[in-house]
Amino acid sequence: MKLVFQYILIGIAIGSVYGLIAFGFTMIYQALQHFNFAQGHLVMFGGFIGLTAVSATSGFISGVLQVFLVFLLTGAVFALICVGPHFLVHRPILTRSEKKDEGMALLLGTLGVGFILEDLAIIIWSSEPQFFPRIMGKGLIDIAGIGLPVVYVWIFIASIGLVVVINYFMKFTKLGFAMRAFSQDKDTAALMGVNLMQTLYAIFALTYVVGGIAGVLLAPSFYVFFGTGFIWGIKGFTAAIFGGLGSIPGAFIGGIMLGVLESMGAGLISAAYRDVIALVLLIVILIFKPTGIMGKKIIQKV
Amino acid sequence: MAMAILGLQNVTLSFGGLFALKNVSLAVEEKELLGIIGPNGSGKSSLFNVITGLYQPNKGSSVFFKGNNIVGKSMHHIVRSGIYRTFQNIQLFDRLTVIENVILGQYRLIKAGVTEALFGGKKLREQEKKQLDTALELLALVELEDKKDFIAGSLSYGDQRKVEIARALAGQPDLLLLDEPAAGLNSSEKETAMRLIKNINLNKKVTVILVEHNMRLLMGISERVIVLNQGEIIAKGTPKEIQENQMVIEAYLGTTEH
Amino acid sequence: MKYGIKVYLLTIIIVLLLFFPLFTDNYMTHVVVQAGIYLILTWGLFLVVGMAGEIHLGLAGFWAIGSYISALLAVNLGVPFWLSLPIAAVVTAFFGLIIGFTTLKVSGYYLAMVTVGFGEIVRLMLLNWTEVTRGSMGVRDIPYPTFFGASIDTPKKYYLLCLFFTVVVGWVTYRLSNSRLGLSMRAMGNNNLAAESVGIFNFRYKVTAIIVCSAMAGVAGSLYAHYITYIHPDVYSLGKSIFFLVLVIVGSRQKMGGVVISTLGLTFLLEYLRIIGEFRMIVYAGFLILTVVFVPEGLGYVVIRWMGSLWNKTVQYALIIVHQRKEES
Repeated sequence: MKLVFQYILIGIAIGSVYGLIAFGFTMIYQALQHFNFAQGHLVMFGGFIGLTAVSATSGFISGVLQVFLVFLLTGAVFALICVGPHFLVHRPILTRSEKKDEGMALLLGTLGVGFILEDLAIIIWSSEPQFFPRIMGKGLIDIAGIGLPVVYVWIFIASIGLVVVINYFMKFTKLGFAMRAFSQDKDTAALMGVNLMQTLYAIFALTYVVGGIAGVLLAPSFYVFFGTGFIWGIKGFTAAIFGGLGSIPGAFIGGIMLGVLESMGAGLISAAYRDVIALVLLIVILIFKPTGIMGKKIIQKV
Repeated sequence: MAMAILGLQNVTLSFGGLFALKNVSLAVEEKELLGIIGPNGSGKSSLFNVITGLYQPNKGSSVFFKGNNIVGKSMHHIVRSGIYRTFQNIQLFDRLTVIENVILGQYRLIKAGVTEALFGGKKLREQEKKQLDTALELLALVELEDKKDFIAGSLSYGDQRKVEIARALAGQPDLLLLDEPAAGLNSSEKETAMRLIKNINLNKKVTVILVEHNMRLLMGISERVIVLNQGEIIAKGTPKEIQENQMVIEAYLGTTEH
Repeated sequence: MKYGIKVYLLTIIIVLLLFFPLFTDNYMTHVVVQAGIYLILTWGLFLVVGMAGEIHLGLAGFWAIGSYISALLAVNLGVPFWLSLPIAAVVTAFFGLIIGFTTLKVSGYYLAMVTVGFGEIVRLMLLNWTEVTRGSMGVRDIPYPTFFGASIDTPKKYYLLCLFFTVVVGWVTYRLSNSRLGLSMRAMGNNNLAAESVGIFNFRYKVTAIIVCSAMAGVAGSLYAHYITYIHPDVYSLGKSIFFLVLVIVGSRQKMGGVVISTLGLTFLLEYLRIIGEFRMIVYAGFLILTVVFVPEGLGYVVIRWMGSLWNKTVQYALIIVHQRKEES
């Protein structure tokens, strides 16, 4: 029984990061009604960037400060990385005059971005799986008699922290407001003076930053490896669907639920089938309740 | 006395708390040309959507076609029993050619399975030739023969509407539902369209229900008119009777289009 | 002429292709066999993605089922190739039916994710269900097919076998796409609503496309297993599924000839460019992005169209020459 409780706690921690990945999917979906298929690859790449950031900062600082700096650096790098794909893929496809097959084009274009990220990871770092140093606390913490590795607590806190920051950003800054307006109704937003192109970039950049940081958060628990791009993407997508694509809080809840279910399944049934659980869940939800837990029904107007 | 080919009884359609149609009952006689008018949002398109099975009406609603209740049947099923429609926002196969669109209109009359595809021989080729000829005839009717190999999406709005009508006719419909066929056309195109519809009704003996925003056009060719407002029928009668109906005039007060 | 001139031309090409192995080395032939197997897979995918208009990212899973069924039947029960291949095709088609049924409820992105999920579940099951599939050890010593006693055990011999199946699959693909069924499928892929409004039952064609695609994948799977003689779950990865999808997108979603161009082209390119090794994915992604952003109808389509106009010009030129000669005499 104690073991189950431990699985649940770990699941919540990991799940909160799945929620971040799901946030990336949901945000783009709300704005454009399409998906960024490189979202998972951003997570993968985030792990690598994080590695470099850690070794760069390990010389002169440590502890909480280092962790914070690593997140900051990773976020900054990802905001910049977004430029390439945005101007080569996202913008040309979305501003095309014929709007046909936008979805398929974006899917494949972002898939291409994902491949490039994979290859860059191999070239810049290595094709071998790497371990991520434990900078976020070592040892166990005692919660109600169960030994939980401290790192998971920090991961959870970091995720929640990021969620709070994002929430604040969306509600109280001009850019955040523009992004919400963009997602609700592009035309009205434009009429209200919102610069659509800039806002589009900001939306993508935000999902890139969140994806990258999610990668840093997941790296300690799983190794850093170029081939994990798709798996993160699938899990983030599953979490997003689970929570309902229309809602951002849903994304996080979906993430946590996925994390818990996966953790319990892996712990109680078999570790090897961990990913299978997420996949089966995905298929089941898609077929039986595609609107998710908190999503809204969309009625087609003819 | 002509038979009622289509009958609606107590048809109600609601989304959440919003009522698109409230207790609509009407009968359409064979071979008549019925016009439906009403201000924006009065439920005209919803009516078509319910008849063709795109939307399921609330419990208690009945839609009878040739004597059978078709509520609950899926759209393709209803189409195959003889009801064809055009859409307000034009739904063509825009990546296919004009002639391919019209050939597809004949779908319910042709065989399009795997066996035919793999093993069809001379007989099949003959049938396909006949389908092609029928399609060409229909294109001639709407004066688009010379554009038969054009990609449908590349045509002008008015021509696209014509293709949609030709495609709907290709299925040899018993009942044809036309949803704002004149929308987006210039005035001479509007006249041509109306003449074409009248022609289809009289010469091809197809029962036509026409939804139009433009009162003058609709009154010009309809035998009978039904007026919708906020999902309810507020008047039924001949064009003359409708024009003099007080309630109708009130419903349209403020509308500039006449 | 009962058939058009193009059919005669194609027959001549196929006959000439029979002699192809005489002029090349084993390595080149090996690459061509590989390309042929891929072509069978991409033609199937062409039906689903190009015509029915659905995104299918799980083809490798079906390919795997075909391979493993055929291989395990041969290795465990000694079933001969000519029996294990059709069985594999039927079993794979059955899984296609199951996935096809999900289209009743899902389409578009959601269907894409279902296929991803399916492909990955297949791979993970093959990897972990060691008692049946031999897991990460893979299946070894898969026997070569035999033809009237002769073992088809070299690339050049296998080439002929592969050519046979490729032609058959090509014929099926051609017949399906150039029929009323094909037209209905393309209509459905273009506009679901319009298709329903002419009486098309969309579900029927989506399922048909997926079943045929799966059967073809089963054939390709069996061909692959008995050629390479050792199969392992890692071969049938999501990456491969994506590769096949890319081949269809880069080739053409409208014309099956375009898919031939892209499959042969990219297979050769990636094989011979092993030198660039690490940059493979970037080249590959480059083609994808290039097509999607700049040439959405497909690079293969552009090539086919160019070849078509070249052919027309040649015919016109030839007619002029013939005309001139007549006038001179």
